[in-house]
Amino acid sequence: MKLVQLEWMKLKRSNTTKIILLIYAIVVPLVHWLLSLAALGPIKIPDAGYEFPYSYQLVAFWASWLNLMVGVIIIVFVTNEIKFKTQRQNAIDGLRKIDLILSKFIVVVGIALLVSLYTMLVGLVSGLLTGGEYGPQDGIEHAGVYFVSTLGYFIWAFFFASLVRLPALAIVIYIFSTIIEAIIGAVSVQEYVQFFPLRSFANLSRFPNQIFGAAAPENNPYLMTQGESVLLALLYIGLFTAGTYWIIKRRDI
Amino acid sequence: MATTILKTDGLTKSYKGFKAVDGLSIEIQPQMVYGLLGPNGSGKTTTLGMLLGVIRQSSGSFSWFENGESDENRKRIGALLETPNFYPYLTAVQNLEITAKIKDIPNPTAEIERVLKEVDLFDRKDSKFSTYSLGMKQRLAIGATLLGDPELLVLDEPTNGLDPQGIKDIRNLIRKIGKEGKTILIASHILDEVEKVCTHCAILRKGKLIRTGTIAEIIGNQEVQLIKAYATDMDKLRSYISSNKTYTIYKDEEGQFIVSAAPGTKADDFNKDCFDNGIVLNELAVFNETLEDQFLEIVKTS
Repeated sequence: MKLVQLEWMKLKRSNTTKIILLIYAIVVPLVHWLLSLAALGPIKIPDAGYEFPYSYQLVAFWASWLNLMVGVIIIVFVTNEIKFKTQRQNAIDGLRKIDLILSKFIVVVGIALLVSLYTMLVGLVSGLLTGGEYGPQDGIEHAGVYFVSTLGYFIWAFFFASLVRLPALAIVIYIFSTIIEAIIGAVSVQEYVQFFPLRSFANLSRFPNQIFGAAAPENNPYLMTQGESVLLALLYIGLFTAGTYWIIKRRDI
Repeated sequence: MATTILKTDGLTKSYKGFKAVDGLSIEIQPQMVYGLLGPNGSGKTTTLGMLLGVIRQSSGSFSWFENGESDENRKRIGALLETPNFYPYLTAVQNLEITAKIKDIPNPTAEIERVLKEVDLFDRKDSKFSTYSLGMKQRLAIGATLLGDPELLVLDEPTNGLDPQGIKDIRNLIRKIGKEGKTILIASHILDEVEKVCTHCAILRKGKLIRTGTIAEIIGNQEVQLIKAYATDMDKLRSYISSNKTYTIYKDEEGQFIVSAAPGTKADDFNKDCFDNGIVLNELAVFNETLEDQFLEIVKTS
């Protein structure tokens, strides 16, 4: 509890955090709403996308594009503690190394929770406004799935920040990591691409193709089920957490 | 018996082949104002870093308050290592709130007000840390160490970057705290500083402990008379001096001795003593060394 309070004291006055979260808070519902009005090229999002049970998933899909940006909060926050040597001072003042790791982990989970709850709230409002034959409880399981997805992105950011330690470099590499992974994916055997870490997180916030009708993506025999995707993402999250712990543990602060 | 504040045993830190700190064993008792004196790069900060849990030692051990290396010990210590480390976008008060929270300090608001007044920053308590001058940052760092009235202060170059008035204020503050019976460990490369505020001191050079003792023992013998002597038979002179209690060889350089003697010893006294023992001196000169010279000498020759 003390660690939560500590991180809150640091975060609540950080302008970077406020600005990025504000952008997220405005852009996500805005995109969702604007695309219901106008067609995106030749494709017009069917009304089903704004109704339960798909409204949650559709918002999550738009929002996931901003997750890299939200991950920047984590990077800035973690690398700042190194740059300002405040992490060192926190340790000198009595925090254990494990506390330092745990407190940042709390931030990661907290922001993932905040972002996914907000996103689901937008999905809920969208569903309530449009009506339809299903209720708000339908499709709500996607909240959990999206939470795992955001957690994955942010843990990845935490891992990178701990590894690289230089704010600017960490941010650039973090953003490029998706592109690099996509390039590697393009030249790899397609069936394996879905097992890549960032792809596994992205797979949890996929576009709800079902809203177009029968052409469901499950026709692809190589694609994992959602349950398998979640498990894989959780596995990567565990792996990155352990990696981060290992990096910080053996390093002098 | 009172609890020993700190005991280190063969503390060593190696970085790829070179030893930043080499087998350091010191002991600090309550109410000592202990100076860790040495030139830049002698391992002072590395030593404090190990003692404060941010650098892992390669070998050796230490114990705070006879309680081992537990992380909890550090909550009883107010410490400043190298530079003032604060969140630039937070104000002085907000920064100290974080420190107080980590240290589980009861009644933080009153405590923060007290230390800010102590280091004369109360007027600027709601300014962001990033707007502070170097001296103010250093003062805030010292203020942070005073939070919660800890049993021990650890200060690494506490007057670094301060103007003469600031240096004077900080030294007065340290002296005042020391007089109140607090234990203080100060690392400094400035002899004058250690001499002015410390009761005990350890001298480090290239990570090794060279001398340790009370200030009087180490640098208090400033009135020692130094005699430069050169004799035909240097071996005989050496054996005479080492058998004699009044004189000691302070330095052996290029075939001549620098001999230290009790204050007031005249050159002719030494000459006569030598002559009586069958040694003829070819050259003889009496001179004084400043404290700074002595310190540099200790550090250089050992």
